[in-house]
Amino acid sequence: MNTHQNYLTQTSWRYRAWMIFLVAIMVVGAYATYLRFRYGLGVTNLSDAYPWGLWIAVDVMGGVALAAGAFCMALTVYLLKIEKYKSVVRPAILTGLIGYLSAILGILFDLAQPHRIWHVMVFWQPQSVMFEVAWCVMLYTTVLILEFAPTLLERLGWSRIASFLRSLTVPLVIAGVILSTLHQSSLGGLLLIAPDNVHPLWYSPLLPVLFLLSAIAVAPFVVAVESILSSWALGRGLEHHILQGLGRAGAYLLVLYGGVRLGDLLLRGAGTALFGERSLFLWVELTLMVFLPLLLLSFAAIRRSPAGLLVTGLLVASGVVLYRYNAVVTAKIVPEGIAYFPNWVEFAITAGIVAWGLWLYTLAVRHLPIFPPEAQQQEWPAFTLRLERRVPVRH
Amino acid sequence: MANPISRRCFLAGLVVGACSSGRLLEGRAAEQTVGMLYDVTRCIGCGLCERACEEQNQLPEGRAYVDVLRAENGRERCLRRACMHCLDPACVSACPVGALQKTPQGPVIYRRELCIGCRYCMVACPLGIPRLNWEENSPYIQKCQMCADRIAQGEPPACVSACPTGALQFGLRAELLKCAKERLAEEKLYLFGEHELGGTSVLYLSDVPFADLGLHCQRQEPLPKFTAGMLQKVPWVVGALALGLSGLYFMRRRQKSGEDEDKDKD
Repeated sequence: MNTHQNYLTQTSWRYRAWMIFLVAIMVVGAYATYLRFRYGLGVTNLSDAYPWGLWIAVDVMGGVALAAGAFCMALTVYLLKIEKYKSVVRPAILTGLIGYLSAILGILFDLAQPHRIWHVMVFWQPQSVMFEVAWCVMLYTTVLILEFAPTLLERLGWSRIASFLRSLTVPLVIAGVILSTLHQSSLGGLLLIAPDNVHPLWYSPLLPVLFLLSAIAVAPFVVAVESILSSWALGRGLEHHILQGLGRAGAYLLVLYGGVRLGDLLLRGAGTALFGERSLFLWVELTLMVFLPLLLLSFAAIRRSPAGLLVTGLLVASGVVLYRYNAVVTAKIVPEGIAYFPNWVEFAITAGIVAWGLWLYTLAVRHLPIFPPEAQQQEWPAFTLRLERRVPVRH
Repeated sequence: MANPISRRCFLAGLVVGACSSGRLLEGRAAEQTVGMLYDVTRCIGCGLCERACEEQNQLPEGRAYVDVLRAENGRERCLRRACMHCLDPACVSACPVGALQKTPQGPVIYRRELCIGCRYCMVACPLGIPRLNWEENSPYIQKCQMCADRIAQGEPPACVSACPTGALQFGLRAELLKCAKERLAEEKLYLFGEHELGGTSVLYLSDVPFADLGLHCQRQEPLPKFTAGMLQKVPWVVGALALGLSGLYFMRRRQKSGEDEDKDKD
C-alpha cells in the first residue's frame, strides 16, 4: 500500500504557495472590481454592438456548463443506482455549487443595475428565456446548497438537521435534474431570439439541445479532472475503475454531442460556411472539445493513465468554454468595422472569480469530508505527476 | 425630392395625427394603433428631429433616440434610425422583468425603474436599436418610446412635430399604411414595416432598396416565436422528467433490493 504526502496541510509549502497564488489573483481582481463599480461598465470593451462579452460567455455560461457534473453524478448514483460512483458525488456537488456561485457572481459584475437582481423574483415576465434561466439558476443553486449542507452541518455537529436533509436526497436530486435540464438548454435558447444576429455556424434551432448535450458531455471529464488533481493534492489513491468509467462515459457522450453538432451543421445547409468566414473558430472549438479528446481516448495507454485523462479532461473543458464564447461573441453579427476582445479588467475579474472558486474548493476539501477516507481506495497505485521526482514511501 | 407625397395622403396624415387623442385610442383593435410613416424621399437630413428628441427627452447633445444617417459615403439617401415599434417586439419578449412593454396604443415603452441592465433586449433586437450609456456608472437602456406621454395627450411625437419637410408623419398605422400603399400603386417605391418582423408600427417608404441604405432586415415573421416554442415545452419537460425520473428511481430500487435478497440467499 502506498501512502503519500498530503499537500493540504498547514505546514506544506505547496499549500501555502497555492493559496498565496490564488489570493494574488484575487487581489488583482479586487482592483478590477473597484474600477468596474467605481466607473461602470465603460471600463470594459463591451459596446452597443457587443452587449455581452467575456463575463456572460465564460463566467456565466461556461461556469454553469462546467458545473453540470453535480446533476449528472447525482442522477447516476441516486436515481440510476450505479453506486460505484458514490465517492465522486460529493466532490461533484461541491464543484457544482461553487460553479453556480461563481456564475451568480459573474452576473452581478455584468448587470448594469446589479442591486436590482431581485426584480426577477417580483416582476414576472414568463415570455422571456432570461426569466426562465434566472429562476432555474436560483432554484438549482438552492438545491445544491441543500445537497451540500449535510457535509458542512455534520462537521459543525448539527447531525439532526443533516440527517433530515439527507432524507430529502431523492426528491432534491429529481428537482436538480429537472432544473438543470431546463436551464442548461435555455442558456443556448437565449440566442434563439436573434436568428439574424448570430452566425449560422452557431445559430441553430437545436441550440438548446446542443448546450445541454455539451454540458452533459463535459460532466464526467470535470469530475475526473477534479478527482485526479485532488488525489494528487491530498496524497490519496485513485479509484481506477471510477476514472475508467468516467472516461468511457465521457467518450460516448462526446460522440453523441459531436454527431448531433456536425449533423445539425450539415443538415441545416451550413455546410458551405464550414470553411468560410469565422470557420476557424468552429474548427478550433470542435478540435479541442471533440476530435482531439476522442483521438486521445482511442489509445488504451492514455485512457488508462490519470495524466492522459487529466489532459483530455482539460481539453474538453476548454472546448466547452470556447463553444460558449463562440456562440455569444464570435458568432455575433455586427456592423462592419466593429470588433470585441475582452480587456484586462474583464480578464482580471474572470480570473479573480475562478481563483475564488478554486480557493473555496481547496478550503472545503481541506476542512470537510469531501473525499472518502483513504482506506476505501488503493485499487490503483496512487498517482504522482510525472514532473514530480518523488518516490512513494513504501511500508 | 422627385416624388412629392400626394395631397390626399398628406392631408390624411395630418388629420389623423391631429385627431388621434389618447382618449380616442383607448381599447382600439390592433389595426387601430398609432404609428409613424417615414418617407426617405422627403428626408433632407436636417437633424431637427434629433434636436427635438434631445429636448423632449432631456438628453445630452448627440444622444437622441433617433439617429439620422446622412446621405454620404455612398449612401444615396438619408436614413432615420430609431425604434420601429414592432407589433410583436423581440425586446419585449426578451426582457425578464417586463421593463419593455408594447402599449395597446402602439409605442414600445421602457420602464427604467424595473430594468436590471441584463442587456438581453440589445441581444434580441434585430436592428440594434436599444443602446446603453456605457460611460455612466449605473446606466439604463436608451430607446425611442414614440413620445408615449405626448401621444396620450393627443400630440404627435416631438420628432414628427419638428420635421420641416413632412418626411415624418404620425397617425393611425392602418391609415398610414393605406397612404403608403396608394403611393406604391402610383410609383416604384419600397415599403418597410408592413410585414417585416411581423409588422412594425413605424413604416418606411423609399425610392431605393432599403438594403442599399443599410437596412438589411428582410425577415417577415415576428421573432418572439423563435423562443416561444422552447418555452412552451417547459411544462411538458418538467412533467415528463418528474414522472420518468421517479419511475426510474423506484424501478432501480426494486431491482437493487432484489439483487440484495439474492445475495443474502447465497
